[in-house]
Amino acid sequence: MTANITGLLKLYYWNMKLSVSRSMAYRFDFVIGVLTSILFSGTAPFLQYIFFTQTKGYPGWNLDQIMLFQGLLLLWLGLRQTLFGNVMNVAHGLVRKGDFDRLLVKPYPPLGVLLCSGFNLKGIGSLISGCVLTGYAFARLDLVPGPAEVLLALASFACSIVLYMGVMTLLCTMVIMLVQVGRLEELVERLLGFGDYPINIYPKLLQKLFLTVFPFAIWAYVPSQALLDRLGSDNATAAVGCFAVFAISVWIWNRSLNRYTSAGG
Amino acid sequence: MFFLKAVQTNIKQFMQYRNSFLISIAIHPFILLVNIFLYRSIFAHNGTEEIKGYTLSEMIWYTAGITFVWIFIWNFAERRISDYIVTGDLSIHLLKPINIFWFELYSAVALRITGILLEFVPDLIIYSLIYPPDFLTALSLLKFVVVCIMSFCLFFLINYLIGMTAFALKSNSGLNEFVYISMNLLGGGLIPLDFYPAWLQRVCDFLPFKYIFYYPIQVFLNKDSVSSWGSWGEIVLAQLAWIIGGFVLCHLLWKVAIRKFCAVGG
Repeated sequence: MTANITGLLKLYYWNMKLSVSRSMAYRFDFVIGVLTSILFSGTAPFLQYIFFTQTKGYPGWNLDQIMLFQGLLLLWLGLRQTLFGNVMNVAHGLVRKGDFDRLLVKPYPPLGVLLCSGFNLKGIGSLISGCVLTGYAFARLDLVPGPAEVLLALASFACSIVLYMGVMTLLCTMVIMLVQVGRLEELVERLLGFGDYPINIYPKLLQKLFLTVFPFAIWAYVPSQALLDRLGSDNATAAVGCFAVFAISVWIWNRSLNRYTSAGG
Repeated sequence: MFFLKAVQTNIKQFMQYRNSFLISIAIHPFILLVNIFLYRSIFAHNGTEEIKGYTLSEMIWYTAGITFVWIFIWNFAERRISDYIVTGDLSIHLLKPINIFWFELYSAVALRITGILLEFVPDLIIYSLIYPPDFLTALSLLKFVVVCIMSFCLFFLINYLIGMTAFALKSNSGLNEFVYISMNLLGGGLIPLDFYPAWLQRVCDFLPFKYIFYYPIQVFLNKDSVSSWGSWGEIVLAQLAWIIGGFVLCHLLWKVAIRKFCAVGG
């Protein structure tokens, strides 16, 4: 088990190096892509700015706090695109061409190999915007979080990665079972989009759901609450939910892999 | 003849991926649901019936209107034109008996007819069941369809111009994304322009983007400012002016660019 994880981390490192080399081959396009991504990631904070300057905003948040939320959200979106942005492209490519069968005879688990092939340097644009906006919000809020708050925020990001790995695993399962998933990814993206707003805007039942069964609140709401020092004990269920989603998705993946009949060629 | 064949082919392609179509119908209500929660929360927190001249129902339907406008205007002309130029396939198209501009326009129209029939109509029914539009009348819907057709032409011309930049830039994906963001931001494709500060609204007045999103959605919402025939006619005329300007610009730039075009590959 430990050897497997060490091997997969090495594999991730090698894939990362290859991805960076590939991006550097088209430097101009890469730079334009990063600049556009920074610009694009500015639209959501701009919208929030408009909401909070032209109206009273949402309950429980002021402009500076919502900027912290947006900064952390951008950080998370950048992190997930950087870490796993390529997974679905690789999965589609392998399954359609029949190359997925090769993964089955490799020494590492096929799911691990797929998740380790996701590095995408284009996520760096959102990461930069997220860092800048979070820093700006910290300055505006005059926020000096203690080590416990920082640790909690980091832990929620770690849980977010586990949750997203679970989501990716479910999508990869769909790809190996259906081959052509069409706009299913878009549907999942829309569902994940519920986590792009503070959960206070949703009815109580949905708030509970986003902190338990579908713990999307973990990727921006929970860390921002932690840094603002107003994290409730009920938010701990979100962390448990992340690991539960990942465990269930791996179980579904393993069952589906047993029924896999190959495709492409 | 080509136009009818293009429509037929697009419907066949659409039907071939029925699952995608069903998923697309399932996707759009999620956008509406998020916006219902978002605006309900904002309106409740503000304790007011109207914000910037919009009621809760109008704000929710404004976001639905954005989805509808996208269904009417979406096309890939910019990607197709730049692909022809970069791959050298343009030389093959130049030999065809139909002008590439009209070929692309017919293809885009065919694509949108399918989209309107199989996405706009079901979406409008589903959305209306979720959140009934108390402002909508048959006449305002008809007026909306007309301005959306004009928006489609305008968006097609913008896309065509972006596609032509491949003559000079080769890879124009960055520029394309930039225009896409600007169009959303400055055209009312994210939020009504009335929420913007006055200076930004003034900037938007000088750009064609508000005639793609903002005004068609105002017509859809049957807002007082555009409900009379006179004001509706003014919008259509302004759209027409931008379309004529865009068409002339496309034509002139094409003439200049095609003289310097050199095909490699294909």
